[in-house]
Amino acid sequence: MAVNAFYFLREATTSMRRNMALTVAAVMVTSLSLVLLGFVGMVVHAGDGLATNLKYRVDEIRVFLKDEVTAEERDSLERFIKKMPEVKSVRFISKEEALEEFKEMYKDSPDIIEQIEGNPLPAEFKVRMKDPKYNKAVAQRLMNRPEISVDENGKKEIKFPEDVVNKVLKWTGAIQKIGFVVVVAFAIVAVSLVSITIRMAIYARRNEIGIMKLVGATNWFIRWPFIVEGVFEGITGAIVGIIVAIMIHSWLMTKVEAAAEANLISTGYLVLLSFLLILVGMIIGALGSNFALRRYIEV
Amino acid sequence: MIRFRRVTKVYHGNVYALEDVTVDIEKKEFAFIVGPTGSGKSTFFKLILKEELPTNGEIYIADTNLSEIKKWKVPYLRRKVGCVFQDFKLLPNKTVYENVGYALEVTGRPRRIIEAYVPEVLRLVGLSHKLDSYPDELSGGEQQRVSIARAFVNRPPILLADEPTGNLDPSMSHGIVKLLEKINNTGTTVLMATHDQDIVNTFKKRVIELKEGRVVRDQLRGVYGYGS
Ligand SMILES: Nc1ncnc2c1ncn2[C@@H]1O[C@H](COP(=O)(O)OP(=O)(O)O)[C@@H](O)[C@H]1O
Ligand SMILES: [Mg+2]
Repeated sequence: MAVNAFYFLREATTSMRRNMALTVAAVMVTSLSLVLLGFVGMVVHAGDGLATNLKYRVDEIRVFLKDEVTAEERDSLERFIKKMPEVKSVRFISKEEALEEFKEMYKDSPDIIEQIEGNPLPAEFKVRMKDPKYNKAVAQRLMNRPEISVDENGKKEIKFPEDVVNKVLKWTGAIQKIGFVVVVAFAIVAVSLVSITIRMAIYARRNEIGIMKLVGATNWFIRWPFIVEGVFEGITGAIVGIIVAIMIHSWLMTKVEAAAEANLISTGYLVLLSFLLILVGMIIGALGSNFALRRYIEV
Repeated sequence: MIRFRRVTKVYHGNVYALEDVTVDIEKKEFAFIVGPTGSGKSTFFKLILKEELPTNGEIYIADTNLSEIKKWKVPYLRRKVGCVFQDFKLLPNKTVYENVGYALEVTGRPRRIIEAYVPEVLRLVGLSHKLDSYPDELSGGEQQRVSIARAFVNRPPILLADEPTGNLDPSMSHGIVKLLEKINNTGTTVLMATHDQDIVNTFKKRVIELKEGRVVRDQLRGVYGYGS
């Protein structure tokens, strides 16, 4: 078997040198499709991370209470909200808890905390919906509840999820969908290019193949060098793709991460993504050679 | 060793390459298959190698019905049937040694076996002094010896030679058939297709004559034609 492995490798490298230009093209398109796949993967992952990292929930509205509301009034409002079928859960945050949260959030900026006199923060209900689409309807039904505080314009203080989060999710969703289509299209081109290089390799070695069949080489023995060649092209494409994807990642971080104040794409995720890219590269290579072999090598 | 039972081969629905052929070739036999171009000699060999399938009838090799050999096992059949052609089919970018070793290499034999078998078979065909030559540095006769060495290096029980002297001048042809006879003497069954009258008449082996796909003569110690 060790002898065979050397044989297959030697045959594959000789053949790739013979078709240098085509091999390079196949590798480049493979890496291009994998860079795109990596990019889509990172954007979607970062979008998810952004949404959770900012502690905003898209399916949650915040209902602020007047300071003078009594415990009974508060309970009655809570029961009213909980009865609504669209509501999944309700969590009460007291004035004290709100202040604690605020101090925690700004613990790195003591000057801000020093400026606080007493407790200016209102108590609130965080109301989770079964689906973000119910946000508006539930808020509408709360408009005439007297327990809810009003701002200087007389508007009820009910806060909807941050728009920016929705926008990010919308964008990453779109990138995911469009990206998927583009990645698949490029992958198909990559598979056909690999298939063409393998076909050329088979053509260049048709005499050898004829003699191999003549002297009783098995089909698999004849096929292996070509499969090695295809998979090698796929893996090379993946390695180039990973390097470019990591470069895009560091560029992306300088632009986005400052705003997110968090490590959106962890090293762990990058490693996982790299494995995925290598796997997809191998699949592209194997598929490409398989198509060529099925058409051109028969007993 | 080789049995054809009422074998018919039809190409493209109307070309009768072989028609109702029944032949028995014994172990260790040497037989000429003679007949003009297009009489079905090559088809006869292709059927033995399972390169083509018979349209009708049964073929047995060493008591195994070829129709029972699964597709993936065909390569193992071909290791038992060495093959030589008119055009040698040598790889021009490999030396004599490498060309012969190739047959062992691609059937997965270890280097140790290759190093032992190749020089031995090249000694048998009389080319020990040309191990490192390339095919285009050899005469036609020598190239055919290399191709015979490659066909025989696996020690197959059957050797098929399809017009092996077709490209050679008469002086060399003689030597090639002598070599096949030598291989036959080691116990290998040899079939040689030819339309070289001189050779057939000189060597006096069994002659199976084909005409338009039919066996018209099967004669022990025969000559090429009745009249000659
Ligand atoms: N692959 C093929 N397809 C169609 N016809 C073929 C094929 N191979 C051979 N034939 C035909 O079958 C007949 C026998 O051919 P062949 O066996 O090659 O004869 P020989 O070797 O005696 O010259 C010829 O008429 C030839 O044209
Ligand atoms: Mg012929």
